[in-house]
Amino acid sequence: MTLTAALPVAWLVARAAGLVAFGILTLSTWLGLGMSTRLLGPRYQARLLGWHRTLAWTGLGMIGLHVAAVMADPVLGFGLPAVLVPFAAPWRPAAIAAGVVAGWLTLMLAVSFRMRSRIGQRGWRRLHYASFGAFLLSLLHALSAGTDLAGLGGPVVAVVAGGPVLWLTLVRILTPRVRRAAAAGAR
Amino acid sequence: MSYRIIIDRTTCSGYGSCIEQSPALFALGADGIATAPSETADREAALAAARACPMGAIAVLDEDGKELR
Repeated sequence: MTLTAALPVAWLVARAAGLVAFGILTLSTWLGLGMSTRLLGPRYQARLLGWHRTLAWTGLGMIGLHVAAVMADPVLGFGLPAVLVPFAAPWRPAAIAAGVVAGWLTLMLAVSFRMRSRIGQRGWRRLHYASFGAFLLSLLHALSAGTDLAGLGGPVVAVVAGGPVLWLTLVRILTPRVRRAAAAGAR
Repeated sequence: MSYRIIIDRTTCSGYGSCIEQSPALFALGADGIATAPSETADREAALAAARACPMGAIAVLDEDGKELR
């Protein structure tokens, strides 16, 4: 490791962008699940889809900034393979691999919005099951690779971010589709 | 013999290298800044953490106040 006298700008940007990316993608996951359960009613579905898509692409942009900053940091010394290939990172390879795979899954999900007409509604929905993996892996990455969520902050963020995901998933699984649609129609 | 550990809180940037190097001695505080006991008998662990810090934020002093390297 090299002695850096100046402010470690790349490191600070990497941490900030990573946290912002996680926050935005968590919001996107909540929104996607909220739409999927139809608890918010049919009236707002189109607008929510627009927000869901915008959040996914914004989160992806933040991941890009996070990755670029990690590569620019002279202390970490990450090359292109380390940020693109799972388990290629020299530092905490498993923790970084979780972030790499989450990044690839997020890219696939964001691109799938544009491919929707080509892959069909059913295929698109099936592809969207990967968002559970992307969320879980990004949470694991944030908890295990970052230094910002060390200590009590990690479990608090995990509960705040993961709680609604778990709740909405249970609603999605346990509530029959007909009843959800009826509840939405009553609004 | 005990050794004094000084962490420059304005320079520490939360890389966590000291914790990786000497987890028994160093930890990250809630504010993301490294913490350590002010004194230790474990000279090697303290020095290893100081050497690993990319910001040079950790100093280890002997009983005479001389900085060890």
